[in-house]
Formats: sequence, C-alpha cells, structure tokens
Amino acid sequence: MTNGSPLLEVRHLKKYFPIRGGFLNRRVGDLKAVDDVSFSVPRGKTLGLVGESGSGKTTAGKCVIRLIEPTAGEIYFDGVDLMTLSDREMRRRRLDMQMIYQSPAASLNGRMTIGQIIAEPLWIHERLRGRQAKERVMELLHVVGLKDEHYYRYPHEFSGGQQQRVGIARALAVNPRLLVLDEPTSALDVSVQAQVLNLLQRLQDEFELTFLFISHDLGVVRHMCDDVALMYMGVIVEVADFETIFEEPKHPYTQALISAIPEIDPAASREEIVLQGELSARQPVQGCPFAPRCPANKLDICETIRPELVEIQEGHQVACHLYPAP
Amino acid sequence: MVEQSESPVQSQYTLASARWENFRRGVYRFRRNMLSMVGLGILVVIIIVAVIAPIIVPYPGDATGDVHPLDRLQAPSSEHYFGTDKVGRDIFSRVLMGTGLALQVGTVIILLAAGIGVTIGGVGGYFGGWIDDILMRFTDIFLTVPALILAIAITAALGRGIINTMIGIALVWWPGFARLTRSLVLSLREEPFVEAARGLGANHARILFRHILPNAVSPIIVKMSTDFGFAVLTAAALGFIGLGAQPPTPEWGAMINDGRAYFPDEWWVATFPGMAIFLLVFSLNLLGDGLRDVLDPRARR
Amino acid sequence: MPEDTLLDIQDLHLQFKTFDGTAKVLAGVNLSMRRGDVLGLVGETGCGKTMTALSVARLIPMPPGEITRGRVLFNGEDVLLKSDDEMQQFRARHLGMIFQDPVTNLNPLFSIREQLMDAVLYRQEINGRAAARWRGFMPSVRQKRREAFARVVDLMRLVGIPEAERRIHEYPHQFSGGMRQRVLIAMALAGDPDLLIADEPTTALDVTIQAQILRLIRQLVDQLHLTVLLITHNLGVVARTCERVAVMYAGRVVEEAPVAELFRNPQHPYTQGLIKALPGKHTARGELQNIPGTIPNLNDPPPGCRFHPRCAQVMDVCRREVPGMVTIGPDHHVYCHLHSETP
Repeated sequence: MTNGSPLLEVRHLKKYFPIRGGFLNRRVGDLKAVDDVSFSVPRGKTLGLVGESGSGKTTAGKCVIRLIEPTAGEIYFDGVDLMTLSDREMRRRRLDMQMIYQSPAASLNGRMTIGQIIAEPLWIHERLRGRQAKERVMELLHVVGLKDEHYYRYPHEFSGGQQQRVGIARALAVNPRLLVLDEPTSALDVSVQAQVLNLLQRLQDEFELTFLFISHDLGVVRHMCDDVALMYMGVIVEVADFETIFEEPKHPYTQALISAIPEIDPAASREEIVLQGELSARQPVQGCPFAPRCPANKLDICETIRPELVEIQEGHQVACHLYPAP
Repeated sequence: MVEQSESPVQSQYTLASARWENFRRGVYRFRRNMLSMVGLGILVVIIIVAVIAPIIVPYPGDATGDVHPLDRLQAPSSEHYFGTDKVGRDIFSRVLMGTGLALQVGTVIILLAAGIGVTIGGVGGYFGGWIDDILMRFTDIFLTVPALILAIAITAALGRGIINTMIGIALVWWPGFARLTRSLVLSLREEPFVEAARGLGANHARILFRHILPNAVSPIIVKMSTDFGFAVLTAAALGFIGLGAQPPTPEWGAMINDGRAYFPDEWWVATFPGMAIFLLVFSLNLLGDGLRDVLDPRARR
Repeated sequence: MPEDTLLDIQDLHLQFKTFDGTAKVLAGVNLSMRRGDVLGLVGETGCGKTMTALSVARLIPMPPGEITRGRVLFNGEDVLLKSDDEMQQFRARHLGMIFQDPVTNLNPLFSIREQLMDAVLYRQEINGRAAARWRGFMPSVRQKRREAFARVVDLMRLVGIPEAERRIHEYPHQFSGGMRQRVLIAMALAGDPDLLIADEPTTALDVTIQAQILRLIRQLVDQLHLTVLLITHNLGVVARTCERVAVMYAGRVVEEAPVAELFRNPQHPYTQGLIKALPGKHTARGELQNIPGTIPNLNDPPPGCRFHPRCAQVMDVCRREVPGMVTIGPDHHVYCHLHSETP
C-alpha cells in the first residue's frame, strides 16, 4: 500500500464468443459476454462484481487474469498492461493473481493428495520439493485452518468447506497480491460459509491481499466488499461503495435485485419488486439491455440508445437514462 | 476470531495409509460385484496355469516339436485328457503350454495399442484445432478399413510369425484408444482443476500428464482389460489363417485351424483350444467391468 | 392430535448401510402438518431434510436404506405399511413433488405437451377407476385426451406460463430455468395433490427468478389451498414463503415455530447460530459468527443431543440424553435440555 494508484485497473474490457451456425459452421454473430467493462480495484480493497448467471461476471473475472483471452481492452496490474505481455511473461505475472473457484471439489484434482495439490505451485515456480516443500505446505495448511494430518488425504474425503480451504492454500502458495474469488461460498452451507468468509478477511488483512469478489449473493457481498459493481448482460449498470449501493440504489435493476434478497429480518418488510421475464440469451441490438424487463417508467430513448455509465455523485456511477449526466 | 478446523482428529495418517484406504474401498466395491469376482477368479487360475504349465503338463515336449504319429487323433481319455491331434500330440499339454503365449500376445498388443492411442488421442484432444483435425483424420483412415483385414494385410506384408502378428494387430487396434482418450481429454480439459493448474503456471506437458490423463486412466484401463480378450482372439484368428505363430508353437488359433479338418468327428482337436480362448476372453470382460470401481477413488459407496 | 392434521411423522428412524458402517440418517424425526400449512424444513447439507420428505413419499431405495422405527401418518393412515402398488396410487393421488434441478427432471426428447399430458392422464387413470365404475362406462380415449389437453393448458396458465397454447408444443431446451421450474410445478399439480413437497425449488435459479417462483408458490397456496412442505437451506426463502419452520440438525428436528417467532426469538443454540451466521447489514468485518466444528459423522453420531459437540452452552445431561420436546410458546417447540424443567 505504497501509493494511491489502484492495483488493478480494467479499461474497456470486451470478450465476444463467436456464435457458430448455418452452413460449414460459420460465425453468424457474437455473444457479447463482456461488452466494454471498466473498473478498478484499489490496493487491499475488495470489489464485488455482482450479477445473475449470464451477466458475464465470471467471464470478466477470468479475463482479468487472462485465463480467458479477452477480445479487447486494457488490464493494468500494478501499472503494467497485461495485454501487452507475452505468454511467457504472463505465466510469471500470474503468480501475483490467483483464482478461487465456485465448486471446491471440481477445482481440485481428485487423483492428487492435498499435500501434492498445495505443493504443485511450489514446485512449478520455486522448484521446491521434499522436506522444504512439505514444511511450506504444512505452514499453508495451518494458515487456512487445516491440520497436519490432512496432508496425505484425498480431496473427496473432505467437506466442501475444507476443500475450499485447500483451494485457498494452493492460491496462497505463490504469494499472490490479487485474488479473484468466483462465488467462493455459493456451494457451502451458511455456517461453513461464515467460516470461509472470516478466513478470507483475515487473510486479506494478514497478507495485504486485494480481492475481486464475484458473487450473485448480495448478502455476502454487503459483508465482504468495499465497492460493488453490478453487471447485467455483459455491461456494468451501477458502481458505488457498498453502503450507497444498499442504501440508495439508483438503477432499477439494482433496486429489484436488492429487494429480491430473501431477508430473515422480520422488521425489514420492504416493498418487493418482482421483475418480469428473464435474462434472454442475446442483447437487444440497440438501447438499454435492461429495457425489456425494466419496471421503471421507461423513456423513449431507453429502446434506442444505450445509456453510458455516468458519475452522478462522487464514486457513484449509473448507466441509466433516468439519471442523465449532471 | 480463532479459525476452527472442521475435521475430527485422525492422527497417524500417511501417504501409504491414504492409498491403502482407497484401495480397500475399491476392493470392497469390487467384491460386491459377483461377476467381477468370477472373472478375476478365472483369470488368476489362467495365470497360474500359464506359469506352472511346463511342470504340470504330462507331455511338455509336445509343445516344442515332438510328434507321435502312432497316437494320432485319439479321443479324450485318462491318458490324454483332451485327446490328441493329427500328429499325436497331447492337446491338453499344448493348450496349457499355449496359455503363456496367449497372455504375452494380448499384453504386448494392448500395451502397444494403448501407448499409441493414448498419445495420439491425448495430444489431439488437449491441443484441439488443426493438430486435432490432422490426428483424428489419420485415426479415421484406420477406422474406415475393416480392422481384421488391415491386420491381415500388415502382417502379411511384414511376414509370418508371432511378433509380426502382434505388431500388425496393435497397428489396427490403437484408433479405439485414441478416440476414447480424446473424448475423455476433451471433457476433462474444461474442468476447473485444469484451469486452476493453468492459473498456477503449469505448462502443457504437466497439465496433460499430471492432471488430465490420470483422471482419464480408469476408463482406459477398463478398455484395456476388455480389449485384451479380443486381442487374443484376433491373434488367434490370424493364427487360424496361418499368419501367426508357426508350427509347432502351441498357439490356440492355429490349433483350432488344425482341428477344422477333423470336425465334427474328431471334435476335441478344435474344441479344447476354442474353450481356452473363450474362458480367457470371458474372464477379462467380467474383470473389466469390476475394475472401473476399484480405480476411481472418488466413487464412494 | 387435531382433526385437520394431514401429515404426522412420529419418531422416524432411517439408516443406510455403507462401507463405513451404518449411517443413522434420521434419528427420531417428529413433524406434523395441518391442512393448509406452509411449512419450511430447513437445515444444512446432510441434516436429513430431503430424506424426511423422501420417506413420506417412500422414495428411498431399500436396501441400502432401512426405516427402523416410527410412523408416517397421512390422513391417519400409516404410509409405511402400504404395499408398493398402493404406494404408487397414493403418490399419484396425494403427493406432488418438485425438485431442485429443473433441467434433469424434464426429458429433453419429449415436448412439454407430451410430458404434461402423461402426468395428467396417469393421474386421471388412477383417479378415474372409481369414477368410471360409477358412471358405468369408460369415456372414449379421444375425449379423455381432449379433457387432458384442456387441463394441461389450464395448468400452464395457472403456473404463469405466457402464451400457454403456443409454448406447450415446445421442447424443454426452449424453456429457461424459471419456466422449466414452472412446468415442473404444473406437473406436480396435475393430480390435485393434498401435499406439495418442494425440495430446494429455487436453489438453482437466479435471485430475481427465485422471487418469481416463490411468489408463484404463495399464489398457488392461496388459490388452491395447498399444503406445502418447502425444503430449503436458505432461511430467507423460508421467511418469505412459509408460515411455520422446522429446523433440522443431524437427523432430528431441533426447533419448530411460526416463522416470525423463530427469527425473532430463536431458542435452540443451533438455530441461533444459523441465524447469526448469515452475513447481513450489521455484521462486522471478519467477525461473522459461526458455529464451530462440523456436522457429525452419522455412522458414529454423538450420544445424547447430536449438537452437543458444537454447542457453547453444553451441559452434562446433553452428552447423555436425547432432549425431548419442550413447548415454550404457542406452536413453538424446541428440543433442547436448556429449556426442560429439570436441567
């Protein structure tokens, strides 16, 4: 945390997947999974990337660390544009950024023991093996709250929460600075989720980590994140710090999403906005992607012109025609 | 807040005990499958027979060239359990002595075929694109020609003999392994743990050999065990038309061919080697089904 | 027992034989539902909530499963004593079930119409045996199909599928997740069930779609006077949909209460922990309350109260004796020694 520039800054990120069809499997169109997305994550902070399935949040997260090759855009990590790096340079750069996956079981190789899984990055990057590697692995196991005797076990012998701890230990093995967390607790039970979230926050403080936290669960996001960016069909519709997002959501989609969180607090009887329709596979060619489901009073231009993300307050950006640029 | 570990404490856990535990689970599942046990039982008996055949058979010399023209074509009796063939050799001795050869032939063919097939399928499936296209079209060429005929052609071109037979059969056998491996690799390649390995900076070789192929190994081994029997059968077929092992090697296929002229009157000449082939193929097929369970540490039940 | 009791599960014990031993999956589940109840059954993975529901429908494979003790009274009749044939009819007549995954529960090779028609015709056949005898003749097949088709379209409208007449000829892949779940609800309603068992019906869906489906379930309850057993791990879903909640832990119900009461005034330490573990508005950084430890190994469950190894208020008696039911308010029951008179 030496200077004020953000650790990660993404500008105009795009990822189009070709849609093939017709004669000879020609490219007949593009699925715009991520369509011109920009955001930044300050050092040591957590940005929540929120959206429903199909919103492009996972694709965006994987593009950031180039696990998926972006179609276009600039990704500045600590001032260096990752897009200009060769594969070789990128491989080394990757040590600084690691990913935690949604399904802990599937992200661990079932044929390797926990010790082998966590030791793998140590071998790849530091050529550590034998005793030295084992000591480091044991250390990492303790850091994530596992025990020595877990070293020789196989992933399938663990509960989901423990598997996720293994995934975290593996990511920490390379001393990363950025963690991309793709729905890290959505496969876990609440009491275990609480354990893992606590662990993540403790590690963030201890190792000065920066998080890109991808989730559809606004309750978890509210607890974890400093800033929140909401995605809908490949675009960001609203960005603000978490308090603003939850207290004064501006975009109609954000409002609907927040009202749809099932809360248990009996006092919190809010007005429930139930959105009609569902996310369709393709965006409208023009206009606001949310227009077909928008419960607000629509303006004429909603159907024809795509709203830009504009700053309506310090640090609060919205892409909606209801909030024109001041 | 202190992090709580979730697991009940179990000390004395070592790599060996972890593997042993998995193995025991596998054996448990295997044993619940009666037919696999039968298959395994028959196979064990066959292997033991192959090893001790030279000691127990009454006329070991009959497998290496002895002839007894005076005793030709005798029916099964207490002296010749399976009868004798056209030059008076004891069929019981020859069938038992042929067991080892059959096992060797199957092993070599399968290892060779799996080696070629897994490499081609694995590389094609992993890299995809034009590499995959080229390798798979190459595979398709082999698949379009009937396997047996191609094997006959290759063996004939290489010259008669048991070694050439094995090479010929292996060269037509691998496309099955290539196709299987490719399909397995294609789906495994998309697994998160493979992506995680990529994110950790692992290179292609490491991802393919350490992460993808170990997870593809059980279907491949299952195919190896079921194919083993058919490979022996194919070798026998080539022996039957005279391309395989040359006399007096006690090769089962060649022995059936010998017996063909005397069927059905002197039925024993062809029947007993035939039954030997049947037993071996049958046991390996049963075994293959059961192996699937033993080999997968994740399938708990 | 009140007269309008529809379902009464008493002391249900279920176990599974596995390689590692015998898993005591259910160990004395007590649960009763009145007609018109909307009961949420909540708990974490492996607590036996799904197993309880499957026991009611007798859909547990036996072996390896085995019900060792208990009764499942449905309208006063013990379901566990029925023959397999009777059970088949019972399920068709009285039960409707929806499951978590709307993708795998529809056959991709048949159109929605065919699948719904099958469901309706099968129910008609079972219900129609008596009716046909009474009328003295069998309606022609064509008329039956016509009636069934009309019913299918009605059902599709009932569950809120727009353009029912057109969409009915489509195939499952042309439906989105939320729409598929609606189709499955329609299928479950085909036989006018007395009890609808919904097992994690919205877990696979997005929040906005979840809100739609939950609202649909509420509407159906009001419209059709359904009795619903909603199984979920999500307390928020229960708060939004149900009237009563039963919390399960490791094969037993630990607390049962009206929804508002349970969330305002949870009494069992496990329920309290579960509610506090939820990240919310007021949770501080890094200090989410959690329940230490993990769910017990059901092959070798702890004696006494199964929650005692993780309980902060554990007493000696908890280690020895299974807590009985204590009523601490109207309709509020808890199974915990902290509340029994002689602790």
